[in-house]
Amino acid sequence: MTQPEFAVTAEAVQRYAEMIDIKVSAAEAATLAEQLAGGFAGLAALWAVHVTGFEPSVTLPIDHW
Amino acid sequence: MSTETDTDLPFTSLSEISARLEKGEITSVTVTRLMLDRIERLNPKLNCFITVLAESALAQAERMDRLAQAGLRLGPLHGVPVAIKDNMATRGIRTTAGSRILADWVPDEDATVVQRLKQAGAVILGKTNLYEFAFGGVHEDYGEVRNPWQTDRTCSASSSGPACVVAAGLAYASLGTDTGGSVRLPAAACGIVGLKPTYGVVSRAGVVPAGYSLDHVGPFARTVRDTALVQNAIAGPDARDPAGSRRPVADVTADLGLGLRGIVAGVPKLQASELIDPQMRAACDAAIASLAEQGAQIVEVDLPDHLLSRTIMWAIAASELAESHRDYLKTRPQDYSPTVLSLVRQGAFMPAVEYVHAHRVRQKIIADYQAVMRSVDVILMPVVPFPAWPVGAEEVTVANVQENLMGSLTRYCPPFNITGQPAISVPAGFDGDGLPLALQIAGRWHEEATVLRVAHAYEQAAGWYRARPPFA
Repeated sequence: MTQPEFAVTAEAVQRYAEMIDIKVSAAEAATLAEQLAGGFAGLAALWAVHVTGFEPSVTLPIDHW
Repeated sequence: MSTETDTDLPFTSLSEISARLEKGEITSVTVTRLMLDRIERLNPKLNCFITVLAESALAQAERMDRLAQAGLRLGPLHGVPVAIKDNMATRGIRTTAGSRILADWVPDEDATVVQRLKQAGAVILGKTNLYEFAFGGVHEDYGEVRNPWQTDRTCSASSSGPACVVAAGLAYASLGTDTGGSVRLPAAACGIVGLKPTYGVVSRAGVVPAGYSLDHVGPFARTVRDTALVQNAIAGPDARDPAGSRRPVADVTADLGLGLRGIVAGVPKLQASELIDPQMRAACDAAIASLAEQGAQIVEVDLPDHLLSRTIMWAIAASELAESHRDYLKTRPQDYSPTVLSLVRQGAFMPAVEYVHAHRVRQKIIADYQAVMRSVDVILMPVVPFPAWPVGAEEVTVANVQENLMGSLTRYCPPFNITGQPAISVPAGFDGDGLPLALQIAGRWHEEATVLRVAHAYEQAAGWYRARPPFA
């Protein structure tokens, strides 16, 4: 699958925070953007894994396998 | 002049204490008082208890002694003093989860694991310190738990308190929770045994959630046999846990003496980028050699994508944490520690698509591990790349390279939270500074008995469980 290219900016974080009704100051948004950018870069790597045939609904509970 | 009570009794194994209680050689009140005295003396420095339950512990000990005198015994934990992590609900007793947000929460019923400890006759000494909401870091209201091997070091991850109290001889066993390694990592840092059972085998009902689909409850003790005894007491189906296993559980002490003939142990090929402290690597290699000497067949295995596990864990756990904290995030953000506030916010910002995709990759990894486990009984690998780190550190030096602490810490434990397999941390020696080293042994789903069997064989050959920390 094509790996996504996330663009996490402080402005985007602040706009999204408003949208989902969470208070985040400008300074906090800048810090959070940095943290999310690192995490999202890791998430992009997950899109390199071929997951056809795998569904989240069967993960748990383990007995149901 | 010191007496046996002062110096030996706190470090006697749970099994032996249990046997002595059964024979009437000691009473539960005696050992409970001993532990409470030690807690009073050592807790101010170690900071391992949030709430000490002196009055109720002594009352329970008296009840257990009366029952014993009447010839009634509830099992191996009858009258044995233990401790629990303070994210497990206790009826009428505050349950803080290490947070300011729940600082005054007094549940009206016990978590299932607390009920089961009580039904087994255990004496609960108190509720131990932990990372805030068992996730990310400590809250300033509670502070860092100090490591009894070196008090300027941490006890590692979230179940730091439960591990510390066992290592320091303040309880014979304890319960912790493990979402990404929080039983195994503190056990490794404190030189004791910590078991993360198969997902759902021990009920999570009444335990404050961190990440629902990754949360496990597991026991700590100083020996593998003691750990198995506690696991027996707490495991088994529970209708209150929606993801709980419905399978009946067997006695996990049953295979402890079987030795290692016929056991096939897989050792993963680690990638060149995976830096490990040379002393930790040597300790794990020596432990694997010991298992081979005892008859285990050692084979190399490939664990595909195991380094993706921490990313998967982050995507899933942060999302699930944020969902359960939605109200607090809006109404009480100022009451979180900066670290945990950041993690909860990261979860709130996680796109649903990424959460779902992380679960699909998780399923793929589970399938890969199922294939590996068809050819081996257990997997052997480090718990953590380095020993306990200094209080306040954000980076660690591993094999002369500076690494981010959290990134490095969450390398070898999360795969088994992702897959739900049982995994144990067992002491594997000490480094040149006297800090504990450890080996991780993971098994097939629902085969805790095999994991404990292998751990027990190594433990008995190596004998590290006899060591005592200086600050105890």
